Amino acid sequence: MTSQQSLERLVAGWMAQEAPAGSDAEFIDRIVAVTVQKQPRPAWLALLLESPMRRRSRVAVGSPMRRMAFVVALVLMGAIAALGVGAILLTQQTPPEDWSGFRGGPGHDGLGGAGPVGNPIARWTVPLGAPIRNNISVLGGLAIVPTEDGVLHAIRLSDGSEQWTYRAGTSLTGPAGLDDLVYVRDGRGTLHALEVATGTERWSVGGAVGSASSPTISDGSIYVGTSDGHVVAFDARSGERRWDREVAPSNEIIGSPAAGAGLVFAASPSGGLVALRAATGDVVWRLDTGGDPLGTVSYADGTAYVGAPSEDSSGRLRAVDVGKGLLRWVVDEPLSSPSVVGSRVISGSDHGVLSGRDAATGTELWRLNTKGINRAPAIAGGIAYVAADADRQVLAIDLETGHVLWRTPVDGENQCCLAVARGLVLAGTMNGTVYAIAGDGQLIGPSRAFASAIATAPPATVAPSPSVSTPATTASPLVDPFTITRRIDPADLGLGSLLGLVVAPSGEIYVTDQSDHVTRLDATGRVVGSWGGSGSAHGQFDFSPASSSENVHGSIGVGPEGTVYVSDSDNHRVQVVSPTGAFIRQFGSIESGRDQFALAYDLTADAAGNVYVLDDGLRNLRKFSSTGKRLWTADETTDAVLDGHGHTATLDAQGRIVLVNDDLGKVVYVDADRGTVVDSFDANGCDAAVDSKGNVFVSGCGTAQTQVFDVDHRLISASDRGISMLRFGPDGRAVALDQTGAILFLTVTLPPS
Amino acid sequence: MHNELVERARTGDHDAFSVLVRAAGPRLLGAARLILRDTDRAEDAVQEALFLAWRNVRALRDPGAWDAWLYRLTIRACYHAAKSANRRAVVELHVVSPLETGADPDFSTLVVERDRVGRAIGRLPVDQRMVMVLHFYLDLPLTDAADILEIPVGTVKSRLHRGLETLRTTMAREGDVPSGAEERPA
Repeated sequence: MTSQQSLERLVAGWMAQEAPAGSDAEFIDRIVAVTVQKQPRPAWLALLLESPMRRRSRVAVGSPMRRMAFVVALVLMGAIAALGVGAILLTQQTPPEDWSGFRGGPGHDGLGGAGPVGNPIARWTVPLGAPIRNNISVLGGLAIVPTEDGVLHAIRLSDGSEQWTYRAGTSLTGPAGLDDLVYVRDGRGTLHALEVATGTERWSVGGAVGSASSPTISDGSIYVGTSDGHVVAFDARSGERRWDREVAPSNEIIGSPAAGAGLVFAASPSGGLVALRAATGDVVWRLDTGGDPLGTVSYADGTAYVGAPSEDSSGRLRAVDVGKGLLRWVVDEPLSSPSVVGSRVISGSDHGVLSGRDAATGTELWRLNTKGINRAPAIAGGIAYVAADADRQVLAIDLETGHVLWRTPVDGENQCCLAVARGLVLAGTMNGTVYAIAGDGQLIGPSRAFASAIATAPPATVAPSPSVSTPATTASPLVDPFTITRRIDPADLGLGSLLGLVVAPSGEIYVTDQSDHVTRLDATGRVVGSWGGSGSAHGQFDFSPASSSENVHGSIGVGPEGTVYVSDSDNHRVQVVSPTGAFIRQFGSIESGRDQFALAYDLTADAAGNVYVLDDGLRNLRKFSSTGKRLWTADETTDAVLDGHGHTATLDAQGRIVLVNDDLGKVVYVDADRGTVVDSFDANGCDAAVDSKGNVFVSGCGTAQTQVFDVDHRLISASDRGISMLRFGPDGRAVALDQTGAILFLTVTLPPS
Repeated sequence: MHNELVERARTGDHDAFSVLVRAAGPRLLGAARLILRDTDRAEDAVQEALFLAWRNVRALRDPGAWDAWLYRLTIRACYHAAKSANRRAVVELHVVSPLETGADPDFSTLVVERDRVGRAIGRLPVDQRMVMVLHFYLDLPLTDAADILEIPVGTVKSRLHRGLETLRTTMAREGDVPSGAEERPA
């Protein structure tokens, strides 16, 4: 035997001995169990996926054409992708120059051409003498505005002068325009076609349809929904009736239909969402919506959206694939059908919520809370414009972030919608005023956005008609009161996320952070000292509650001679320490009976050393003497306005405790001596601060908004910079946190009262 | 019978596939263990191979190629596993030239030194080990090994030769030269 042969035999022998392991049967069982759950791939796919194997020069496995098949598949995929891109380019939303009708156009997607650039300025306001309840159309340089007294007003966009009026004598629905005609329906059921330029009636169809919705114009047809469950189509040129389709029981109202992709969409509680063929009125598909109340339908990019009526507190928002009538996603919240642009949908609601969502998935991307009803926004240039009913404001909102870019007041509620076109936002109010809001062309800057608003409005180039008021006398936008003078990132000070902040009378700043420390800063933000640490011993803190559903806290207050009071939340106590961190005493504990703390929350101390502590678990406000004796308790049993979670007990100049009840949306004043509620007003927020003049700054809960109310509780200023935990120090200086948790040094300037 | 089972498996008959797997599984697992020198990774590789075999069983045109195809799938899975393992651990090999040993040992008496053989084989590059496993453990002709590895027969031969030479020199360097070396013909 040669050496080579003996080596080979050695290797073979070693392998024969080494290979078996003994547990093969169990392993094979496992493989059998795994594979039985799957089916073999079809032959064509298996041949394509498995690389060819030759055996004795013959192909035994796979396909010799596999490589070619891959090449063909790649070419095909490329062609399909090219076609897809082409189709998208051809079908994507194209912003119109005009705002032809209700919610912008036949899809009701709310997409306008050009909005204001820069900070808001009122180009003109026009009082029309009667409420404006329906939509405004922008056609051929004119704003077409119906008023409740049955008059249609055509107002020149350039200067607010009236071009013509059309008196129908009864209430009007519409208008909606197409080319050189504008259509309205009067209260007698007559459909009118008027020339946009002159208001001259081109034709009218008497008794065309009974009580009906705003008309929708698409592809040469006019579509209206009726109050008896029908959708009716007319020829836009002649007024001839094309078809009439019953889509719901006769007692159900069909809102203004949406049109797109060769379909007309209508919705009602019993009839659900219905897609009709635009040409014939035939039902293409119907989606059962389970009897939910349904509002106006909107359509964009192959998807129909239907939500709750704008004034209904029940219902859901649904997105439906119009190809098959299949549900894409649903949001279980009464949001109205959205305006749509690209991958964003923005819904209003009856409860003040404005919600920005991903169009493909329905995932909420941002949420903005305002007061009252928000109707579908008008969209242009990456900005959503919306009227906040109860606030009587028009807001411009960044579509990407949901941040308010600016807001400007109007003189009444807007019960329909806004129009945006040709660089203007047009709003009609129930006080009968039309606002044309333009932009100053400057970069939007919150600190100056509102201050410059009306004063810098360019003068009208044409003398206004007698009915046109001058801009300077009307709108008075809110001024952002904050100027940031310095910003410090807590990480630069060696601190974690900040939990509490207070400015001492000395100007020094105390903060608590997630490392369970209290840190003292001088007036410039330099660290002077830090003490504490996690634990339950004297001088140690535990700011993070065991339950993640509870609020992390670590509120801090400063009393006479710099004594520091800290809500040691998860140790269920308040600790009192010296300015240098030496333990002095504690109030309450979880074991201490009636004066225990469930979750010591916000607190403040007065000049006498009394401490006022909100308990987030017991939902009460208690006053303790400097020695820790409980003096009084105020809660829902003493006043209903305290029913809920209280935030930010702070003292005003009159010695009242000011807190925010976020559950009730109220700012509450409590007499510091007796613990009785002495005043309250409506304001939504989770944090309040009071300046030396008694102005109350309320920061929103999870929103970027801060509203400022004067001593008469009038809203006098607002900011959208995400200011929170605002605390005033001596000389009116203020310190706060921004949305990143950075410490801000601020000066605060309010408009003269 | 074997080909009939393969045909049935191709129609989606999982029972037939199970019989085939039970027949081939231990052999595949043994090969994978020898290549990867790690039982867990070997099981993963064989599971991956057999799962693919079931999913793509309809790609098999010649039922007689069933075993060869399973070997190829297993070798491929082992190769992937070895590559990923190599990214985690680098083994430094010291190869000594045969000339340095000054002897040509007879390995037939090295039965008791099999653990050293194992260590030496474990140090071989994976492509050489694969050829050895196909040839010495699965007892495949080099032409079949070439089909399975999708490489020319000449390459199979050279890998086998290099592998054996490396084994020889490694073992000689480590003192595994048996006394039989003296029996080498002059």
